[in-house]
Amino acid sequence: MLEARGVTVRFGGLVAVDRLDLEVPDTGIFALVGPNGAGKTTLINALSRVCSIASGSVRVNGTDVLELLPHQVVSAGVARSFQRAELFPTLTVLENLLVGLHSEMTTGLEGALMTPSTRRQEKAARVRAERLLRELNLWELRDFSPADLPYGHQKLLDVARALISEPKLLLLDEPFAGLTEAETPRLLACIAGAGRRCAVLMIEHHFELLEGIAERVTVMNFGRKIAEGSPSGVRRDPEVLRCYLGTGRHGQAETAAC
Amino acid sequence: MPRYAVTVPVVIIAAVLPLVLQLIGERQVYWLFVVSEFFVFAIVAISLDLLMGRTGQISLGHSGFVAVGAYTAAILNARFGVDLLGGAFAGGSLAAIASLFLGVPATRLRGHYLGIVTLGFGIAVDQIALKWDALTGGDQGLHLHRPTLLGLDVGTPVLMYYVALIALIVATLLVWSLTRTRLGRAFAAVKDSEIAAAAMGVPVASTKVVAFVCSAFLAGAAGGIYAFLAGFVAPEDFGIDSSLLFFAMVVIGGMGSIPGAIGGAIIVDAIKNAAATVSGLSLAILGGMIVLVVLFFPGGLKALLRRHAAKRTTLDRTRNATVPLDA
Repeated sequence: MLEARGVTVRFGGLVAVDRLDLEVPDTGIFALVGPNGAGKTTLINALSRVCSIASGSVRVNGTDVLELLPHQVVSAGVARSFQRAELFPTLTVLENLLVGLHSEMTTGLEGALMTPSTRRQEKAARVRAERLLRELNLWELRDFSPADLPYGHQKLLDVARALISEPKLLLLDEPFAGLTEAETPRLLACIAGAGRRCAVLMIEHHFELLEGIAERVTVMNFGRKIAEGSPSGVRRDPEVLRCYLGTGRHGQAETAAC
Repeated sequence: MPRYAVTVPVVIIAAVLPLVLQLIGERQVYWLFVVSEFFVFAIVAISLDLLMGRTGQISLGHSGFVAVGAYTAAILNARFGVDLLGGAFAGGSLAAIASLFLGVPATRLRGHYLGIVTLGFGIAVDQIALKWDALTGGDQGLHLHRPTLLGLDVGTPVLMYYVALIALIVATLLVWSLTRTRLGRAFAAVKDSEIAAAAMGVPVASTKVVAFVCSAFLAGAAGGIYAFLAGFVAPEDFGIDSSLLFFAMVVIGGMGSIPGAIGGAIIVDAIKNAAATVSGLSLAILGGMIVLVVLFFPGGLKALLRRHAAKRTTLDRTRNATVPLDA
């Protein structure tokens, strides 16, 4: 599915991602962890073409992502969510999901005339959005602005907006950050469901959450991959302990970082 | 409250207004013109709101597009006898072409470049109309023939009133439909978050250009209708003053709402006509109003009305909602 080789991202003199290799198969949940500034979000941004890559290659399903413009990435099967749930407050919850279907739909200016093909497309898109909103228990909130929703619902909607296009690769940037304990299970179930249909690459700090669902964890520090393996495996890796989880006086992990 | 509970009575009142004015009988022609002119200005306000309120792009020279449309219609009518529909369409098209030349470079830059470019455009068009007298008649202006529409004579104040009213209704429906379909949602997405819009497959720069061209087309078409309504075009109708009036309509009405834009147009047009006897007074009042609205009611008229309506809907929702908000 995802094949990234030697990905390097520079901001001026700073190397944010340094010759990183990453492979992700067709389905399953894969996590990116690492301390602040390790380059996790930059990597997600690079894979989704939000920021440009200095060198390296990124292929999704055989397509060279680097040849695409940022808005063409979603048609290649790559959808993403954002750390701070970048929703569209001008639109309703339902309409936010419909924007997720933008590249599948074709209506342009003729939308002003409500042509039969426009109506057909709108209807089909709304059916899909309704199904997803009902699945996530957000249907009752469809006409609200996302700005009026609690933060946890906003994060859920952000993931849903990426999911609705049925991507092959779903990139999630800290989907659980800021969620309450009560809100977490619903999003967890949603992501677990997505992991059975497509590849999910997510940034997540909670090892407790990852142990249940992630097949593999990639640990980054200073733009480089320092460890890779099962969640419980990397948790015992001495390099990971040293630079990320933190070691106590006796060389034991003090805390699972959160 | 369903939407038609407001719109249907408003349209009925607008439709019977000429009859009421006929019964009152006093200064009927004047009032018909004032209200017809308002209908045309409301189209411009809607077009500007599509750009500013919906897409988040500022135009400070929208009367430039109105002028391009009005002069196009006037010249085509005076020289070739083109009718109202053709004049409005040609006016809109030429304004759209002009906007393409401005919009393609301006929207590739970030920030308020479009605002600055349109300001310059608005000032320039006005001066070109004044100086290029072989084409525009200079400060003498241009007279149009008696307006016809698809072979019918619409040269009476009452008929032109209905032409302007129908044009406003058509413009409202077109923009309303557009905002409820894919492209209109993309406009809002670009305004709210360019990065998320792009991630959803919305090409940000070209979407801004499309919004700008749509807005200019509507403003130009409104200009074409205005030329036939007034029967005469002259540069002083399209100065920077009138760009500011359109800007005030959108800000006072509350950005991003068609009823807001029409409401803002009512307020601004009423002030303009009421204060017409003292030159500069209306601009002073409107300038003050823009300051007050931006400082104290950033959502404008729209937000004031919505706050009122929101109380009711929230109550209804909480009664019907099966999902607690904090679940």
